[in-house]
Amino acid sequence: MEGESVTGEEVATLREERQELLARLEAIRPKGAYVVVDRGNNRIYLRRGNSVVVDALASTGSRAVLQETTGPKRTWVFETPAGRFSILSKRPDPVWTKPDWAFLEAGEPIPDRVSERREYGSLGEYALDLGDGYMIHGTLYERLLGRSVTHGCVRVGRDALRTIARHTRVGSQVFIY
Amino acid sequence: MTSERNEPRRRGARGILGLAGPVRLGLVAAAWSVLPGPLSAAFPPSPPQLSEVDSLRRANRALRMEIDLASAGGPYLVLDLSGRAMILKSHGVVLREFPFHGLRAKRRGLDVLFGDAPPLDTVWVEGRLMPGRRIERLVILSDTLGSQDHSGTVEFIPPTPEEETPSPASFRIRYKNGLSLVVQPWVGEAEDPDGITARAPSLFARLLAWARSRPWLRDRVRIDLTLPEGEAGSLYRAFSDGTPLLVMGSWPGRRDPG
Repeated sequence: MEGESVTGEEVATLREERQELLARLEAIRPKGAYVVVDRGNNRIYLRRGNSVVVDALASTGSRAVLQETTGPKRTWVFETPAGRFSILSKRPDPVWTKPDWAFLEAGEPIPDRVSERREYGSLGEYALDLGDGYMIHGTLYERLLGRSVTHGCVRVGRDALRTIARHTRVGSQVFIY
Repeated sequence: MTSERNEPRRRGARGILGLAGPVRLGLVAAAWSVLPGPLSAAFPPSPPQLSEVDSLRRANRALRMEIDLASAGGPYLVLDLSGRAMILKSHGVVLREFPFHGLRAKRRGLDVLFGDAPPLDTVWVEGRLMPGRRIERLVILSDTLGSQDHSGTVEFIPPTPEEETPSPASFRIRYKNGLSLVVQPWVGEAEDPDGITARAPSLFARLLAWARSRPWLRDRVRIDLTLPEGEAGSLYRAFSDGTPLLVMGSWPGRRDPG
């Protein structure tokens, strides 16, 4: 009987320890809905706890390398970065300020004025900024979803983007692997 | 899943080898050379039922290991035996779940004959994909862009992930501290009753994948995991070298913690 009571106490202690450990793990987890981007399979998920709110095709970086052959001879690698990010801003009807590589790709001269870099409508209904010029945004080319075609941003179809924008806020976590 | 059926045979082998050191080693070497496949034994060899105290200790130990992995920041895999799923996680949250169809674990090499089994429910580190994925980068020079006449050319549609990186017939994730995780897709039963026409190409593909997974590299523990075909391919494309693996949960025949 004494052995049983010792075991009972031990079980209670271990259960208590388990609750503490679960609380510690819970404290590490980001709160609320979070976005997951699978680069290898070109998919995007919106998850909340154990449930999947959105499971959709996406397009991620092509991994191509653009080398500037004249002038400063810069190099761009069009790869979606892996890691943990936060949504820094959420912009409806975003305007794309085209970077230098966009003009090089088009074989056009790089403009001096910012106003000449603006492009309307190409990012879809929302842009979720992740920093360093990377965004989750919409696309005019939905037929290319599921393929690695972007310059590093994550392109999402209209319906999935609307849901993701509705369920996330500034500060929501984005995991890219 | 492993059963306990092989256990008496393993114990028998250990008994026979209660001989002088050189004789024992000679017998081991002979046995190694004549066996057709890798030496293996049922795993884990522990009693089928764990007490509640043991189960809770194991569960708490696994939780502590997961807290360490979650705090480290990068992605990690959890092979959840009770939930029958391989789960890719980061910071304690689920990134992707891969439910598995079947699982079998074996100890390999001399560990079968000597010594205790290494603990399976531990963190296996520095996983490396075999065969590795090939990443081909297109290099574009800016002076080749924009100047050509593209009239009459067909638009280039890039490949899908499945076309770009097809999953091999099987692949292996090899961990630095002695675990090989061999992943095979579950393709269901062949429609051809003899299975010859259906299996012929896949046999070749399997042979090729087997060779590319470098089977001569033996590890102390091997886990064979069968995933639905699409899921196996997804895991192959999603896995990044260096990702650790935590095996947790109970094997069949053991009680789960409360």
